[in-house]
Amino acid sequence: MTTTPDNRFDRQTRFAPFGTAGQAKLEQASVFLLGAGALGGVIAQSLVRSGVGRLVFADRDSVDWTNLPRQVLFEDRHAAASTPKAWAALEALERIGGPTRLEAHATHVDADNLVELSAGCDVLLDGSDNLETRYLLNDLAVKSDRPWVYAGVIGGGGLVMPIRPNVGPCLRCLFPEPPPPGTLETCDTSGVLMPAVGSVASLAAGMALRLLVDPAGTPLRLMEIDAWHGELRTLSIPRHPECPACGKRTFPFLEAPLSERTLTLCGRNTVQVRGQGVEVDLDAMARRLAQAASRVERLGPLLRAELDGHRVTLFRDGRALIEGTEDRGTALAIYDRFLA
Amino acid sequence: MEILVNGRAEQVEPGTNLAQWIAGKGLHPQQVAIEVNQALVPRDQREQVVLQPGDRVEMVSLVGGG
Repeated sequence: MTTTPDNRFDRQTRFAPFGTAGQAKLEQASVFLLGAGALGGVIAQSLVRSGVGRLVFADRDSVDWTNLPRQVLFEDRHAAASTPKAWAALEALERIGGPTRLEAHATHVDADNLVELSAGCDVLLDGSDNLETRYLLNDLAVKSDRPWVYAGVIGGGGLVMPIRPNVGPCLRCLFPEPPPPGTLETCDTSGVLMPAVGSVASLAAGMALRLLVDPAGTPLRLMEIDAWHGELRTLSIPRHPECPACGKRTFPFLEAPLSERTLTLCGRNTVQVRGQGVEVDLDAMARRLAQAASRVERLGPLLRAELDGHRVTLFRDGRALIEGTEDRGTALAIYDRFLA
Repeated sequence: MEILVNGRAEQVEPGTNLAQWIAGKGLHPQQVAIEVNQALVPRDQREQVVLQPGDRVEMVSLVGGG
């Protein structure tokens, strides 16, 4: 058989459960992806290579050298130039070719702009690196009745959960409130392996394809995959009737605009980020930051650390001062990555 | 007595409830979802669930990295 651009998708349409009908649906579909780094890069590449109709993605970071072992869309030259991840990803995805219309946004995503950025998208995908963003995505998905795929990775493995609001459980059915800041490890504090990223993100991309072409058949389960210990688990979880999101229909993450989370301290080149109303264990936070920060000091009622070149002061009520910037997005990026 | 946690045997003191067991592991109650014998135990019922010999516990911790 000769191959031409016209039979580009031959091998995947030969997979009967997907088929030419699946391909046709995929080419009509529009997807929003939050984050184009580790998980986001693999997810974006999977969807573009599969031929999704339109991919809208947003990322607030720029490429650094520590990204390269696991963020498949980036190269040395992007790290050397600190290229915004959204632009570097766009360039890499365009080189793949195919029918996908790409839309890249180099911006911080929050309650203020998420609704607009994701307008017209059929499925929402998680390539983010913090819990705040995932609870925000869950709020939007449930409120707007759109499916989304939660994916998280740390160390050698992670979690994936396809969510169809009002059909199966949502993130808050399982985890009603995010744990207090400093409870969970992050990739900056405990590390992460490329195969863990690839496993989790590929599983998430598979669930995204399934939601787009066969939503009713999508397994609405929590899946845990560990590429280091070679273990897989699935948990079938019922919807929680008292779920704050899909049960009681309250959406606090979506309804707390950026302007309420931050305050720019004029003339001081500092942004204050408000806490989540939960007391922070500063000693535990200091231990966790020891790996990621170039310097950590515990000084009575506060903790001071040097994170990504910014002097950060964290108080027990979760409030933080991020010095060296007046940009709210930059300050929130540091807060959500290291302190949330 | 012995229970199975994520498929592995683990010893616990008889009479331990789920909330105590989670705290004993140094985990924050909000970071984990727990099934006992394939039924999710809602957060507000963890103190009422006393672990029994042979219970099969599946625990998943929320993952925030990406």
